[in-house]
Amino acid sequence: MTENGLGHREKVLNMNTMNPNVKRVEYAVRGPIVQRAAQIEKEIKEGVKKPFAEVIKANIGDAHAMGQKPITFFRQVVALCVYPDLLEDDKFPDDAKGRARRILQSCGGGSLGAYSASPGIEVIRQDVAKYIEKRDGGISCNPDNIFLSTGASDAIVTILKLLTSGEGKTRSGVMISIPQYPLYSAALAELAAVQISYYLDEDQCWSLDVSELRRAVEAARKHCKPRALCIINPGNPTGQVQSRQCIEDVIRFVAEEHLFLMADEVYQDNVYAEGCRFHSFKKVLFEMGPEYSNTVELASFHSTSKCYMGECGFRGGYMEVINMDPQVKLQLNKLVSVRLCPPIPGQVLLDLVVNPPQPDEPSYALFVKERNANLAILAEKAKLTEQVFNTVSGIRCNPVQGAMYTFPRITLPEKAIAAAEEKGQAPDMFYCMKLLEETGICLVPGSGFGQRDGTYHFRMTILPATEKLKIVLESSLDLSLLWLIPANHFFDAMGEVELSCLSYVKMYLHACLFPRCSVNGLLLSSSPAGGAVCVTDCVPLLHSHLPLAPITQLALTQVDVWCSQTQQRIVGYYQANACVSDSSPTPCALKIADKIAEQCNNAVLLMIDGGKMSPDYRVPPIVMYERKDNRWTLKDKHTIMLRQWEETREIAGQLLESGDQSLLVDFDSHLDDITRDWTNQKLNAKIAELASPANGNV
Amino acid sequence: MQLAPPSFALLTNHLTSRNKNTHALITCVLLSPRRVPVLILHLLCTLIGSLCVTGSIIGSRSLEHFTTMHRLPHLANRSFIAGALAQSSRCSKTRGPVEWRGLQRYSTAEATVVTRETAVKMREKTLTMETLSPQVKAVEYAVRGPIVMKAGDIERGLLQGQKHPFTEVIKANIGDAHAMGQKPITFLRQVVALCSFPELLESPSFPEDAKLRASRILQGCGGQSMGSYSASQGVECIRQDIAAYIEQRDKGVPSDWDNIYLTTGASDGIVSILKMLVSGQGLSRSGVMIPIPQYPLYSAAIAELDAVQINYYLDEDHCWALDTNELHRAYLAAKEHCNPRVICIINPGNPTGQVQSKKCIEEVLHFAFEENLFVMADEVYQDNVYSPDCEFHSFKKVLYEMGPEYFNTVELASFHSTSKGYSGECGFRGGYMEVVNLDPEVKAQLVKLLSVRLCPPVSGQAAMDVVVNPPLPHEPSYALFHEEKSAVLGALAEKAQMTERILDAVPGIQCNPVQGAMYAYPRILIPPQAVDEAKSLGMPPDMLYCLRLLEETGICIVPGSGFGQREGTYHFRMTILPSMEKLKVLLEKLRDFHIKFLKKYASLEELER
Repeated sequence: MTENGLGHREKVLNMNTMNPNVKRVEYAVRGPIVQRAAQIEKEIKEGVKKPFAEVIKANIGDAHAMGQKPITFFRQVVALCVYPDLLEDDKFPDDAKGRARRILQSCGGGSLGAYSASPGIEVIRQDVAKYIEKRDGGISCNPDNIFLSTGASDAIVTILKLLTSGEGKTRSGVMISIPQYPLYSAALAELAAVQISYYLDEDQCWSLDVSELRRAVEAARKHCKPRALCIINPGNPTGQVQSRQCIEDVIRFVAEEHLFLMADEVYQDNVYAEGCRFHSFKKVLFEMGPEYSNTVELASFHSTSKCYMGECGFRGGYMEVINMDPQVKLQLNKLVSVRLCPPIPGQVLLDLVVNPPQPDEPSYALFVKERNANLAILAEKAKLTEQVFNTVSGIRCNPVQGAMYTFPRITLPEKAIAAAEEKGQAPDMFYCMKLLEETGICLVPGSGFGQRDGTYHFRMTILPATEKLKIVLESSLDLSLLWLIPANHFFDAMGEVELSCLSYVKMYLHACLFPRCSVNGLLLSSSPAGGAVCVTDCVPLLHSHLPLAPITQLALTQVDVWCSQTQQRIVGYYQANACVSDSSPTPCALKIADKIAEQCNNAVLLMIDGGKMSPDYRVPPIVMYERKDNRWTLKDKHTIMLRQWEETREIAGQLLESGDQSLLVDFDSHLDDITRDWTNQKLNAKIAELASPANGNV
Repeated sequence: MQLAPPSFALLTNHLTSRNKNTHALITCVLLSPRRVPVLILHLLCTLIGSLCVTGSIIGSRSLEHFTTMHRLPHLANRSFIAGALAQSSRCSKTRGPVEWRGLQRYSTAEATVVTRETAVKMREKTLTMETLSPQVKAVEYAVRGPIVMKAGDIERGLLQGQKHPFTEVIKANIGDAHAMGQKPITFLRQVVALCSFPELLESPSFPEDAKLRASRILQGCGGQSMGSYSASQGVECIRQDIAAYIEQRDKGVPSDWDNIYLTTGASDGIVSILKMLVSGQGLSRSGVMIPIPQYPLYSAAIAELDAVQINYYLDEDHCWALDTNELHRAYLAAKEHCNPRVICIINPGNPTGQVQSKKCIEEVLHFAFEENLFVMADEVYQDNVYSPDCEFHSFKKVLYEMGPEYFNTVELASFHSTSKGYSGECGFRGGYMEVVNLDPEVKAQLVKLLSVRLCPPVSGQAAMDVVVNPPLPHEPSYALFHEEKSAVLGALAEKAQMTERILDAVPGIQCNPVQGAMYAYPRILIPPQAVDEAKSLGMPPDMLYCLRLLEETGICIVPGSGFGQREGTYHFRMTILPSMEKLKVLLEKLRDFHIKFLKKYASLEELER
């Protein structure tokens, strides 16, 4: 019995008696983070001091809220329809008036205030059909297959509703991508349908792999009946644009597996990356021949909320259904009629989107200007976002080819994960909450969209105005550097590592000298064992055939001998992989590092992150591992120190510019020409000249 | 051998221009002799790449792969070639790159062959009547059912020149005032137009009070645009206006704007609350008490949610009043097979047009309190009260007046919308609900549920704001607004009266007074022969009646079977919305049809009996 108010009565509707399916619904895009953001906004208004001036909401694809201006022509027509007296106003262009008259004529009583037919106003459905035909290069489209909706979400839920049936093992299963837009998981939870997750391949720019689809469907078949496949292209939250080949593969797959295909194509105009193009599922389906185009059942969704217009508030949208059983279509008609009709202003706006001003019309020039400006800004921001994120160590970001989001992967230190667990939060939720509290930036944690176990992401829209976006990016950059958590939070008992300027510059030059090869080397320390590890120097070893045991052994022995002569000891190993996007330790690296760890307790394994080695990087492009419980685990960034990093960075840049990397000799080169000195005395002197004495060399 | 940055840029440029041979060439030039194996691999890759480029997928794939590489910003420092090579060699840990690409090509071809075979077998649809959701199948919605579809067909036929015994279809099936010629309230449209196209705020042709309202609403919108999503519960200042409106309506009964949720028409709110309430299986499945006759949204939503519908009958002989004995009967009967949790009341009634007395509402609330039921009060017709001896009493106000014991316990959701009243703005899909005594945790769940659909249309929210916050007497738009509002409500009252008068005078038709709302729900006599005929056609008798009416006169009304009625009685619902002249014609035509219909199926003696 729950106690409440008067204490003697249980509510009719309480957490125990409410619909369990609703309880299961999760919708992170407007989840706790967003609620907290609203609270903070209110607090700021009330004068509570915060370390930031305003909350920047990068959680939701809401272009207008982020300052994008509406397309003038669209709003003119809507205003004319809403208040037809304006048709007499000569400030409105004739083409806008023409559109408004045409739409009003098809409304009951010539008023926007009348209900429309449940699938939408007839002429608007015809316009949508024409638009699709044009978009798909002439493939015919029947207006009867078009259903207007209250935003795309409405239509998606409606189709899912039709598809849900059966009990137990015959309950409908719906395949959705992970990461996904949480509308899907929420709708499935609400309908008590079975969610079948298939994973997108983060390493291949979130592409979709048919073998993964097959794996997912096979696994699901044991406990449900797979009935539909949902696919979001361009991707939300992942921002990829599917290739034509991939779409073909998907269509073949659904034909083979007898699945209903749901294509969420609301970002069809948001394609930025060169070489990427939007291919509609319908077009590809029809180009694959009648064998597919006559059988595969497809529903495709579009909306007014995204693309260049971003009119979310109007809740306009449509779906096109293809190859739907005629009787089922009747049922669909019936189902949508219960909610009477989609909002008419939204329908009007949709009409304008599919039937924009034509070149011979007076509003054309302004329309094109506004549209292109909006798209160009988005493209620019997509690029900016990706670039900046990829300079931050610990953040990896796939290119934002389309849509409005970036979904970078973040590396979280174990302590942060533990702290999150303590709070009962997902680690990325913990990260986003911290980010919100400290910088006012509102993002959505990857856990709300789904991600592979053990990986962490967040979704950020690229919509904030460029200046604001820069703030967002810089802050997240600074924060990922600080790891958001007060340093003393877990400083206890953790081994600190200090990298000297000399050692860093040398390994950096080594990687630059052999840009197309994997390189490795040893980290040396001249300080005695115990306490913090001070990496004072390094010896570059190889730049080819890293796993070659005899050469490595030879090198190790020689370095060891030299070290004992110069009162140094080997305290670690570094490596840079040939593949720039791969900074994970190879088996060979782990093996050598293991060897070193046998001699030195707190040995470190340092990987140079090629992905972060661009000239304008701001943080050390390094990832460090330490050996804990017989495993090499990511080292907490707080324990890694580069005393005068800015100076070190400049020195490295300076040397690289003057071509001094050619002075560097690694063990490999020494073997080619034994007159060359792998201890690099010459280069050491040069660096010592540039570096201030305190920079790590003491 | 080291690449100078300029030559590197050159290389990547060449590559993006998809010139494979340059790729190979530059690779040759740049690689030292020590890298011969690397070179060979590269040549192989290039060779395969150019083979594939001629018309196959794999070529374009590898190109895509290369361009992706090019986009990475760090290429100035780390070699492009080395990176690409490492990637292909990573893939080729088990097979060489040549094999790998070849295999991929092979598997694509194989997939095609496989599907060709299965595709022939596969002709049945994924989604058929058999596999369709049974809940969806169970949904019925007569207001837009077969009669209305037929009306649409006839209308289209008329346009194409088909001959019918009438010139136009008169749609009296749906409470759609504007479609029936009602003019919008100027002030409301001005405000929404200003919100849609804020440049108009500069225009002198709009009154200041409209501009003020519009600016205020826009202030409440993200980015000051109606094109941004609002909070899921609705724009904050509009919720505040609604709370103020409710307080004023209920003569000071407090209303917290935190309890107000804007919705996409009232339907959306009703379905959301029902969704929250449905749980349990078998005997514990939630039961929902609805009036019979009812507005079919309720039965449709209950079917869709797979809840149990519990019918309580309104008393036709007492002007569709609600009788607590009947509530008890229905409740007890239902308790046998489900868990009754909600009672829905429509006041003023749809389709029945009655306005409930305060006493009746008190009894309902008392009943709900006793039996621990959630109360859903559909009050969308609160402004549509015509009968001089009736007054609208909101459930909330009555609950308050019943004392704190009730007011602090009974859970209540009340619904309102822009679609009815005097504004009749159906197309905007504006609406709100107020919840009272909802469990705070459940409230959070409700917000979550609503947030999945993001937000109600903002233009509808703006319209709702004007409905609850109309011009005040001292404002410039007041005179016009008042005139328009009174004209609409006056005309409706007149039409309500006329409808009742004319219909009730027809032999074989019994019509209760239309005290409120927008509908008349007369009872009609259908002779046994007609009933038999309908049975043989497999349709309810009143459906047959309405169908014949449509075919002969072009009048489109909804049979009572779509709303529910006591067994053996027959009704239809018609709106009183057509203009005075049209309504008159309609009623006369209806009268003539009815008499003809009776004559056709029954002898006069039978009728007199």
